[in-house]
Amino acid sequence: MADEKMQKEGMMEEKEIFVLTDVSLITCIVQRGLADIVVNAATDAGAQGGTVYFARGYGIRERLGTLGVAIEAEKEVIMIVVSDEQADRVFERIYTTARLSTPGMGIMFVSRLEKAATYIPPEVIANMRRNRRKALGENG
Amino acid sequence: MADAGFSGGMLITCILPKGSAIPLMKKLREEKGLTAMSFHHARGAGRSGRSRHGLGHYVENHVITIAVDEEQAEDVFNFIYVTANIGDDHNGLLMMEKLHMLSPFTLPEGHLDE
Repeated sequence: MADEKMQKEGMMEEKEIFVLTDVSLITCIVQRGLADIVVNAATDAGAQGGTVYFARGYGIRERLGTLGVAIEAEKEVIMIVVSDEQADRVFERIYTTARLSTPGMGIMFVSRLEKAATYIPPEVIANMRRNRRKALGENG
Repeated sequence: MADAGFSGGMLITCILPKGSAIPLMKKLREEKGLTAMSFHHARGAGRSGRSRHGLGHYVENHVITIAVDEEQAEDVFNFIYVTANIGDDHNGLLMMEKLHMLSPFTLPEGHLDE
């Protein structure tokens, strides 16, 4: 996630806060057992990872398949945070790999995040500081 | 819906190592007065644990979801960052997104402090 724009938010109890801006959250809801395929597709397309949890779906399932048994009610929800520039690529890769165009397979949506924060390797922070100093030097 | 008088807010989602959610929620309640929050279990996989044949192992996580007023959001975000040491390696992910509408949640007066 090194290509997201980073901002130094300020100090709180003498601790620097680094946040990532221009990031999006991809949420994908699929049938139970398919989360690995989704997370694999996302990481192949450049995402750093994903978080998976179980949920129960309810909707038009009863109208699909024989007595509604064809569509698994148990779902897996996958959350993947990506940079805005990666979002389209990761979204498309998941869509094709998990075959979301198949009816009843699942849904996926992207929401824009105001900001995010996580561990940022020290070398990335050092690089960012160097670039900032350079930019300030160029601007006088 | 605008007539209903609901204003927007922020949704803060925090993915933490297993076992971190309840102590953090307790602090948020005691120190920030938050009540509209919940947590659930999840599993996380990333590039760091990945093998040549695909995904490596999953790690158990706790995911906290907090709805806050826009004015309070920055403060709560920073508080979680510092309290949960989000900036340290393998300590999770914190994110914040804008909510179009947020219903107010208040507890009845004199509720049991459980």
